[in-house]
Amino acid sequence: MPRIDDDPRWTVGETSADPLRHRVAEALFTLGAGGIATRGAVEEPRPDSVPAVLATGVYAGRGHDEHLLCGPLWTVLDIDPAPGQDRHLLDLSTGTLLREEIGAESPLRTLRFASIVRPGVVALRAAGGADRLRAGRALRPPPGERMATGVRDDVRWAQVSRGAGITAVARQQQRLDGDRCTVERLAVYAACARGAPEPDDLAEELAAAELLGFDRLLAEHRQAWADRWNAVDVELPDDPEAELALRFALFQLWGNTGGHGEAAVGARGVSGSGYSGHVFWDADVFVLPAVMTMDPGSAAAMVDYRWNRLPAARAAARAAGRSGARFPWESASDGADVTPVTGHIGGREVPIATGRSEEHITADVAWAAWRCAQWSGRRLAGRARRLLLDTAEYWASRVRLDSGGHAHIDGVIGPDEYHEAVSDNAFTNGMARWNLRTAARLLPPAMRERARGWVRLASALVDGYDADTGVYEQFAGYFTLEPLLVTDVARPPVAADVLLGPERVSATQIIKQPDVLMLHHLLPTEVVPGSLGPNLDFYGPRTAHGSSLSPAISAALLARAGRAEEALAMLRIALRLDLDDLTGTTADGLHLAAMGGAWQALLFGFAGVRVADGVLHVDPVLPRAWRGVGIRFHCLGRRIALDFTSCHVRVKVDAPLRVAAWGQAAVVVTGSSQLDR
Amino acid sequence: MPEILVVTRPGSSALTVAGAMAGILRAEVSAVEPACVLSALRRPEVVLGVLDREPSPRSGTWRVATEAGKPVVLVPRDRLLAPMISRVLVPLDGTPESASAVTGAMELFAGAGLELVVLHVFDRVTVPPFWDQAAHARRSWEREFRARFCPPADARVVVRSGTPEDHVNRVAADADVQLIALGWSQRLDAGRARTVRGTVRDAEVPVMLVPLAGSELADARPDP
Repeated sequence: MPRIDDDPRWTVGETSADPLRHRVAEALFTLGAGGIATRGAVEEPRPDSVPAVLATGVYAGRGHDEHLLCGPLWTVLDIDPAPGQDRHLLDLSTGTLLREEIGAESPLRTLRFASIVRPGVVALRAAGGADRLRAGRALRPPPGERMATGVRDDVRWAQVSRGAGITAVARQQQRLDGDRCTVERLAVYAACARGAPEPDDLAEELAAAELLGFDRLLAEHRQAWADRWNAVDVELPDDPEAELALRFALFQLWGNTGGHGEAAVGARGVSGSGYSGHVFWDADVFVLPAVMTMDPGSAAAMVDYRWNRLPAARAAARAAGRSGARFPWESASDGADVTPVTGHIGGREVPIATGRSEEHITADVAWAAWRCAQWSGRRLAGRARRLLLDTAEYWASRVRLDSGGHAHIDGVIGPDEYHEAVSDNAFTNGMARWNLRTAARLLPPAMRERARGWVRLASALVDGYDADTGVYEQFAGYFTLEPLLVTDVARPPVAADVLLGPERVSATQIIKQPDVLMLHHLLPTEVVPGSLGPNLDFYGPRTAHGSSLSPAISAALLARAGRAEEALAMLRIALRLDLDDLTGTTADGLHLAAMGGAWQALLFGFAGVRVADGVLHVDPVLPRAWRGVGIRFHCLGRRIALDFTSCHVRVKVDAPLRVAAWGQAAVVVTGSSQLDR
Repeated sequence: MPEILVVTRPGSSALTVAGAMAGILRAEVSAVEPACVLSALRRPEVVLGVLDREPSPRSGTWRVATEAGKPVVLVPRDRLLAPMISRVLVPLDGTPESASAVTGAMELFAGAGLELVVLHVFDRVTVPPFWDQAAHARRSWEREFRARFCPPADARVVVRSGTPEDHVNRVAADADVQLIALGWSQRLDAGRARTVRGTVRDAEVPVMLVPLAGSELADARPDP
């Protein structure tokens, strides 16, 4: 069995001592590549296990019931008796998952990986007592699904198909050596939203993998992971716990995104069936900005997912009596809105209005396309430009002009979902305003009049800013609500709506997550300069952080405001969200937005990295516990390494780049350079 | 054969309840004097005791409940109770301890064909820190809650917000259950067992209190 380095800075471990964490561990140990992922379920079937192989954008069902399709299982072995105690070790540095039985005379050991060199290729080696380990069937049906199977040219194939489909082919070897049995299994997966791929189409890939063999597949996979970490990584020598958790976040962001042509990144990625794999603003605003710094191609695939559903968004706008394109709050295969119409707040069944009213998603999609272009240093053109224009057209048809010439957006839900059907939500209006202004600059000269109209409309949009206090009113009438603070009811983070009930919470100023402040995070140059501090002071004590999206973005904002200690406390919550199962729902899949948010908090918050006009700006803010930080990432087509303290930044680039630190004049960095405060 | 002990008094429904429990456990019912019930409960063949409830925590009933190493069913007095039990309410606070106390009972009831209603109340202590999207959060939460704490697959999970003692009897009435089964620490000192005390005090149906440690009920499962 290949050995793995159990360096605690690079490994996430779990023993089977706590049976309640069994399914949590399955989600944590998900291995994915190219948009196909396998949960880290143990090899022997167990009634409390939820094994799954899922693929981004491959759904079954219709409408609100659309959910991720589960493909054939490739990790199941016949093990009898099953291990009593075991430990798993996920080696982030090499993308391998090791399982070792504890306390057995002839312990079972397994090692598996999902090749990042050959996305779709997966491999498993198992060794154990010959009296209890057998390979059994290489591909087995997922729970609750019908699976077609067969053998062609000595290759076992299996297929789960429900409109969309997932196909796998596999070969395996079982060797008996005295009292030990070794099983080696290779499989190749392919998935398609339009129907299950043909097994024959995978045979060549399988043959190539077989020819290479397990050990050489593993070697090339390890080398590719080393290359990945060489380009994107974090080093926090004073805070190994945060360092490991951030690496885990990066690891799972890589594993749960990607895909060919387009990437439908659901709220839980492909690490579980939670949230049905539906795509929310999580993808555009929380995951994409992080992925853009890790793998720009994958981020572009996320934009392409939206682009390919532009016709559906146009149809949705038309159906609502509007122009342009309106994107759905929850999206799946065809881009129609798949938001359920009922749900629950705790035990209360409630109608779900987000599908109808959480319209900021339309501007979020545009922002994601813009962000991709800005971060890569490209001008807005082609698909991104079209997305900006169509969404702006939607807002132009959506706003209401009053008799005083002010523009309003009525009846929406902002990111703070505790208050529904509000008017002039500062975030929605602010995003729409940015959308209109940015798109106006993209119109050709022949459409100058339309551009002027959009700019006028944008300027007329009210945003609730109070110049006396420096605080934006979250929506019209918010300041008249009962001024309850979160600590009056519970210690945050807390699902205040579950505790108090939706009616009670909506009568107060308690909010679920940053709303006004989300505008400061996404569009810091669109808000009034100097308004971050007053809004943090006002909304911070009112924020319940009852959304798992909230702590990470709050950390980023607090860091930007120079409140590094508070920022670090928030970042730690975000980082432990899945590792400690703070939500109680990690078993249903990882919270990708919290992971993306955590990376954003480090990069855009603590490091203060931003891009403007092709210049990389760096403005580090460090908590006392961190003397120095190292970050590597992709930006403006370069590979960038930053090593910084509170006094200096060492910048390393693989091609010349203009860099500005702490607001000083930009300098051209070639190779490496140190910028002092 | 398993044995159920019952303390009967004039006007009590305890014998009716003991008979209903005996039908589920395939046990026989033996009457016992109040003074002997604690010692009799120690006999290995005895699986539970059935007694009339008494309001005072210093009463003999509560003494039995706090000291017995086995489940005790407390029966409301002067009520006409159903001779059959077909539906049981099991409040769970989402801790492994309370769930493990009643896991055996839940499996036994489910195995006997009884309908199980599991109640979880989100209060200041048990409220989740995060509840992301109301359209999906409950399904994710409930899937894992069931997997961890509620083995019978067909149990109905009811969720409420507030204080558990306010909800248990209300849900019991709404769901029309004939028995409430509660795991408990057997401690009645100040600030503890509020749910147990409130439930027993106001229940319209018998309440089975299952000690957190040493539940013997699972062992009473009839042979297949």
